[in-house]
Amino acid sequence: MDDISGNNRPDWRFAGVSVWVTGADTPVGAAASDMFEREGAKVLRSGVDGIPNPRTSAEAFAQTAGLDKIDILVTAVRSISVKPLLESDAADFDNAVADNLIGVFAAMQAAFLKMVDTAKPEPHSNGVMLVVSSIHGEKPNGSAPLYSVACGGLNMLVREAAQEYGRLGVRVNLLAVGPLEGDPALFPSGITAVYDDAEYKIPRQRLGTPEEAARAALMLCSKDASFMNGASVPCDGGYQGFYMNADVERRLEAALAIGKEAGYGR
Amino acid sequence: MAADKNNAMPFTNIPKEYTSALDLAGGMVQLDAYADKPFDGMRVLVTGGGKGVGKGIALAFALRGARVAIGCNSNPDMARDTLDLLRRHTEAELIPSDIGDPDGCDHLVDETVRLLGGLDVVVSNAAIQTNRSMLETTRESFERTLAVNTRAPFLLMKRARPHLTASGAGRFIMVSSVHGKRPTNFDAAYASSKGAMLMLCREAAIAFARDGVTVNIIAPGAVVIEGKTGDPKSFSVLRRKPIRPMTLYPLGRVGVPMDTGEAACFLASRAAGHITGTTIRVDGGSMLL
Repeated sequence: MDDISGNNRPDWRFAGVSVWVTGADTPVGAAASDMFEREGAKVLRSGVDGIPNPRTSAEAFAQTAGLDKIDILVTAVRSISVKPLLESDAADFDNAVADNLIGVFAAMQAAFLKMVDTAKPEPHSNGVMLVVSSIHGEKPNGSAPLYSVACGGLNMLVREAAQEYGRLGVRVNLLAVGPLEGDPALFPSGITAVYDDAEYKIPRQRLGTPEEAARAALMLCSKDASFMNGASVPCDGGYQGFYMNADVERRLEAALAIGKEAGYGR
Repeated sequence: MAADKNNAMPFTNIPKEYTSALDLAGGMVQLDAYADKPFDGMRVLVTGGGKGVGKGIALAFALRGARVAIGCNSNPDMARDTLDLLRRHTEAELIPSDIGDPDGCDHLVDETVRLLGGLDVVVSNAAIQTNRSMLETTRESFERTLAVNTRAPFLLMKRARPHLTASGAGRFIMVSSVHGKRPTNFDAAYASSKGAMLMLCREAAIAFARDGVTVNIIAPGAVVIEGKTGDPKSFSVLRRKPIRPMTLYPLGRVGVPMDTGEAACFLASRAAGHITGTTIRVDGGSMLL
């Protein structure tokens, strides 16, 4: 049996690692925080227990002030406001961007200065940042449009950070999470069918779970992803490959019949 | 409201021969819209110009006064009807050839140059689609699909290069598909050939830039052509449920050949002289969903 009392278990990828998770109140953020702790990390959770998600640089720096170091930053904030573009005003825009984009930018700044020892003549870090975003950085949802706008901003924020922070060794990647359980209810839309029957547009014909997204996030934070920087990785079960004329079921039946006839498989 | 306007049938006295190419086109195309013949003197080759999307492209150029050669392999009767239609507006030629065969590509370019006296624009539109799943696709049919859909534009651009260079404003336009990016779920060979075309376009755009020749792609979505219905239900795996057209095509209608033709004419125009290596989606926004 596994000995879970020690802190040098070979399957603990994050023993002794300090992790800061913003958006720990979201399903993916909560699942990732739990998983980091199970693998030996010390986790600071923003978004829960009276610690708000930072929306400004000042708030972000205040949250990290007491920490010795940060090795890994995971941002999983998600603030969705269902309101048509035509009815939204500048304040709605500012809110969506502050929650989903500026807060991430501020957390990156604050975390970076805890990752890199600026006192050293040639500072270097093995820090990692992972931005949990969504498929709506590419795909409009027709429901909470300003959320998509913020996600689109994250795509470029991550690439910029990967270039700049990457010079000092910090890797920055993005996980574009696809329809998870519960998502269709968050994005009601009268103008698109993006979430109508979403599970049937995924080859596996089911929605993803927060745990699946969190596991992908941990992989990108681990040493296994040491040469990944500025990457945008979809975690969507293949959902973004769906196009309207996909007659999946009939084709699959035909394919299996052919394979059987040809003697492939069991 | 806008969708209703787009879906309206604006053409009341258009001869029947045009309708398969023009159809609705959102009311944007009028037969006399280009009476000043802005493409007068332009020499254009459209492969697969006998029917479907190619017919719409050839007609869009013809209405603007360009001289048009259409290549065709299958359906010679339809191609002859298209030729008659084009000749009402311009000088047009029909060149039967199989561009799945390298000699067919060379023949098509050489004949066009001989008949039209040169070449300014090539629209590589011809494509085949087998509608077979991956397991059903044989090696032979995969190779044939790649030969017609991707190798042919490659060979055509090589053969046409000196003529396009001599033109001074040469244009090589390829018709790909939304399936160059998005899987079809019914024809892996087709999607692979269209995806390969996207990179062929980018490489060729660099290679041809010094000759002043631009290389671009148009990527149509679903298009109504002869023998295919525009009923959105026929395109959807979700046909068991009532479908709102606008949730499949944000602009509220399926594509028609002339949509692609108009985009090709823009890329061929002087106005598009600084555009190369890019893709224009002409899909009513369907790929956004």
